[in-house]
Amino acid sequence: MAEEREETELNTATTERQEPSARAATGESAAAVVELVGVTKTYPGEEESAVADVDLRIREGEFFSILGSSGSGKTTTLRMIAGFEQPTIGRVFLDGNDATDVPPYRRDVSTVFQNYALFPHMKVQANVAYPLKMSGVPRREIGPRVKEALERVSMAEYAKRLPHQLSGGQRQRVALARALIRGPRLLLLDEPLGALDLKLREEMLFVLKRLQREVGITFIYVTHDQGEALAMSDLMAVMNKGRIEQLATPAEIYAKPATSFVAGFIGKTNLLSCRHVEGNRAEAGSVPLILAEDPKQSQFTLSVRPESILIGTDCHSLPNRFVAEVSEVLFLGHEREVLAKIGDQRLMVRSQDLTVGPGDTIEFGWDPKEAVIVEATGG
Amino acid sequence: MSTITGEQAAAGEVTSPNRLWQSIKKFLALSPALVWIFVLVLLPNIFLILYSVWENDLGTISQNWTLDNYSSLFQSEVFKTLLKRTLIISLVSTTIATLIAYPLAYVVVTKFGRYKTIAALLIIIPLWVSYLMRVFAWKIILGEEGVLNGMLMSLGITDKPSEAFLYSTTTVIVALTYVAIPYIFLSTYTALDRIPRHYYEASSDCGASPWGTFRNVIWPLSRPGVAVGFAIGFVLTFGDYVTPAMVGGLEGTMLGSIVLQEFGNANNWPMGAGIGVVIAGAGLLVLAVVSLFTRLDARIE
Repeated sequence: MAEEREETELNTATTERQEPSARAATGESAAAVVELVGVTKTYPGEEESAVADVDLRIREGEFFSILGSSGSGKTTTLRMIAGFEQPTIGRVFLDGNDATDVPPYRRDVSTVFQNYALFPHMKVQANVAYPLKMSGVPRREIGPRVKEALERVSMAEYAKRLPHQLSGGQRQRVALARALIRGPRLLLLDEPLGALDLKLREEMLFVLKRLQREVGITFIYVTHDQGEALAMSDLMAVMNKGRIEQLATPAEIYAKPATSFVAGFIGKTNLLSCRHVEGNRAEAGSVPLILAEDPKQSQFTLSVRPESILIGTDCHSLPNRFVAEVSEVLFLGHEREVLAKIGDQRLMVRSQDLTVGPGDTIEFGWDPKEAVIVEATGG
Repeated sequence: MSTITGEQAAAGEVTSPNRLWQSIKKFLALSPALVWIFVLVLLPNIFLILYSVWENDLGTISQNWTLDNYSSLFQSEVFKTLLKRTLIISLVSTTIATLIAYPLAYVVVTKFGRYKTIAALLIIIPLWVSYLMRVFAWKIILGEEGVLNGMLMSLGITDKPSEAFLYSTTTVIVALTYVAIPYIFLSTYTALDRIPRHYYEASSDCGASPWGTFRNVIWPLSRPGVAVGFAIGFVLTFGDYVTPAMVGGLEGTMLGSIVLQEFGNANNWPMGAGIGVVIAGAGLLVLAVVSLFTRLDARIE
């Protein structure tokens, strides 16, 4: 009975999932799989809250990322959704039901742990069979389902190994198979790629994305790697000091960071602290700037991405145009990162010109529309 | 047995006298430990076995080979009764102690959070007190003028002090159980403490109830520690003679007591040594059985 219900829900999840980012953008309210309402978590004996007053709605079928540095509260948030931690204040809803006090084993949620947490005394197949065994699935059904789950992550030939006989990437796949075998509504991934090397990490990113498309369940993905979050998510939340700084689509977060923290954390950017002069004119230190519109604030921080800064003849028609001295050059392979000085400001620009060296003079500028005001810093 | 170090290979000095010298050096480095093992472990046991196959000649030992000590032992009804009783007493008390110590360790590890070290310390603190004092304490509790009798009488449950509590097999079992608990606790606590928190969480995440988690994950991973604790408890109680002597009376006499008698009053060292060998043998037998449960094909990370 329960099986059937799960089956149909999975199907609707798949069909509903066609354009999650579009749906997210239009703000259409699909069923919230997870909802956090005013959640605060303070660990005993600690003054600062690990998570402070977080509200979150995650819709069916979404790939949702929580991005933040260590200590930002992202893992604590995930642990409260899984049920390993209870919020100090606030409620956690799963599928619209208050699950704040529901223990983890009664939640329709699976977790892929950072260190995989495969049971060391069980063979791969026993590890993957464990969730089925615990939910009382008949023995004869378990075998085929385990085989299928292992095949999905290309680990079928390792079924009889013990976890310590596997490599990191293989353990990762087994952990995924174990988490997915019950067909949960919600999969939580806690820095699942953290322990893998770069090449494996990229490979696993594709595996994860493909799996999510295939099984169509909601993923909540916690990471400190902005690249992973941008590449994978339909929606993402950037957390800092226990609070959500911005919640939007990756494109929006990249193009219009809401705060200077978000601007600095996602990709590289130049943050200029500016003073309003009048109209659309402002000053960063001694450097005069043209803005796209009146900032309506006397002090603010402006974010200019290196890639929106044009160099040489390209910038001649732009209102913000500067001639600057190159102070440092970093070779990145496909391009160079150039640190340039104008007045008392230093800006990072990208150049494909391989002849640029320290001491040279370059001309660059940007379209005012490309610069984003990320924070009012006063008045 | 290749003992070529990088240095040697580089210097091209891999000659056989050199290798011999390396082995000798290795042996010399090990020698303190080997001497220790030889003097304190091997030698006493060799003497014990030798004495048991020598003849007792009216209190002196004549070095004639004989198996009479063993044959008379196994013909003696007293010895057979005592062997059986000793086995039963120490198996029962070790089992009870394990049944108390393991859940105790489980609760301390899982429920006491950052206070678990303090809690563990409180449980093993009795080990700091002299063994004799701890057993004597049971005399004070169970004796005719003891705490238990006093309490029962003041509660009006009995009207005169009972002699039933002290000097019986049960008394020995109670005292030995008490003695074994801290040791078994220590072993099981260590085993449980080694199991990382995320195994509990992963199991719960897989839909296992706390009992399911215990049965399928925690018990299999801590079982070797329980087996080792059981073995320690068994060895400790099986050879004990102080406790039966103090609280056992006639009914609670164990093998250890007659070893003492043979070496002491009876002045029959070969017989005492024979009993000693039987005790050691029985201990090894139980350890062999227990060691079947200490195997674990897992590596906890």
